Amino acid sequence: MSYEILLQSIPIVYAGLKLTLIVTLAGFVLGQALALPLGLALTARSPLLRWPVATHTFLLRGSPLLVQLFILYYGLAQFDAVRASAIWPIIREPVNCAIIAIGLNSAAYVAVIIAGGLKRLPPGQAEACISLGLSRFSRMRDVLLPQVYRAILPSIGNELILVLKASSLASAVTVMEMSGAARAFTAKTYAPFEVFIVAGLLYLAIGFLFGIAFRFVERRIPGVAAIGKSGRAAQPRPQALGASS
Amino acid sequence: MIVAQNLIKSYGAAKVLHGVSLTVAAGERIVLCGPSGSGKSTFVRCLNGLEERQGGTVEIAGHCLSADCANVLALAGDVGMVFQQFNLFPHLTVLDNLTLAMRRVRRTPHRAAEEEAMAMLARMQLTEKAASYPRQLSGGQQQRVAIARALCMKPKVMLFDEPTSALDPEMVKEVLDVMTDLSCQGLTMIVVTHEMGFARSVADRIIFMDRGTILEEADPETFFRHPSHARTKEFLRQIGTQY
Repeated sequence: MSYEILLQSIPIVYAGLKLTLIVTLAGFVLGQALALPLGLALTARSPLLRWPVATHTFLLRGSPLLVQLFILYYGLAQFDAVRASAIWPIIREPVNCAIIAIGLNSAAYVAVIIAGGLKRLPPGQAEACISLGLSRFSRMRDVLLPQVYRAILPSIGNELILVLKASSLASAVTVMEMSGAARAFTAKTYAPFEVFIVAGLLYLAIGFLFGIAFRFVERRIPGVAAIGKSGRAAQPRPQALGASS
Repeated sequence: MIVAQNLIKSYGAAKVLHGVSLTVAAGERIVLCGPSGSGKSTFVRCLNGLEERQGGTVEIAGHCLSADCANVLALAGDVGMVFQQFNLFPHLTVLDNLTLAMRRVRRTPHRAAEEEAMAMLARMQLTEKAASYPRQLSGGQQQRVAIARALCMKPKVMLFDEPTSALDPEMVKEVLDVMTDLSCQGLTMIVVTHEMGFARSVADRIIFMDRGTILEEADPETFFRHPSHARTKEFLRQIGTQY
């Protein structure tokens, strides 16, 4: 361990911070945006909606993200049709590839969490909506999904940390985010210890800040406490907090 | 107001309703009782489209309900329902619980809906609970909020599915008082309950169901003093009603 190399590696890793944040946040947002329709499809009555999405989540949750990333980045480029298509300028960029692969992967996990949350709500909630005449859309937007999201908020916070760590795989497709920068530095200096210590600490710090941010959001949303805490009502409580991925 | 004819409901092979018919005039107050598993809850849930049925017709508050309940939203609050488990929306305040359907279904403007809801809460003596969440209320208060929520839609018919069965004994009275109060205002009501004191003082007609059929229907006086079926007598004896 050399303090000189340690000090040298700080700016190296720091240079990758921006890309790490971009890949993490964009991948996370893409994942959340896709997870909602996928989660709803997983709970749909029609098998035509349910089965394709169930297959999709099975494939994406069941295979390593690194494999998915390679298929997307190196695999698709082989096909002329892909290179000629409108999406080529987007997926030609390794950063975009990483964001899409991470986003799709995260969406599959979160979709299952959302579907589980919906299934765990007491059926009386939907029945109350029907008896009041609320449309299907309003039932989802105003009653069911707000309860699901409040219940799974800790899982979503968890997912953000997982996506942060997954972003380190982007270095495998030449994205110079923090891990990529650290690897390049190692190749030059043959000193992996210091630079990866720095990278590890920075990942920890970012994850810590994400955690604080989520707890802040949790406290700000009205009604979270009203759902989570046990009251004295005789109502069976949804155990949605334990929604697992 | 309600015409149900020959309702048949089964879960797979198990038949729950064997052709139940009931006609209720506007303003009539019906109490539905019977042993558990007799199909009384299922029957009222068929009336407002929460349960699909395998046969029979339902006409309620001017709407014909299809057997698969595809047009259930056409009832749009005209048929109010009060559940055993309250089914309040836990993430919304009491006030928002009341105004949600008014705003989304009746398209009442926000301010007007809140004013109406506050007036309704005042009627239920719950004004100071407007900003509370359901979990912060006692069971009796929650059930009164649930009744208020249904009433805000100005229903033509109110269905009560064992509204006091999940309550601690000391809270039963406050809910029954509210329901008695409602019954004096000409609202058409069907109440599934084991509260025979309430049945006796409020009902125009008491209906006794057993094993998926209506066994007996009579005015309270006849029902309690001269029940005609042995099953009715046994039921009254079992729940310990002394009249």
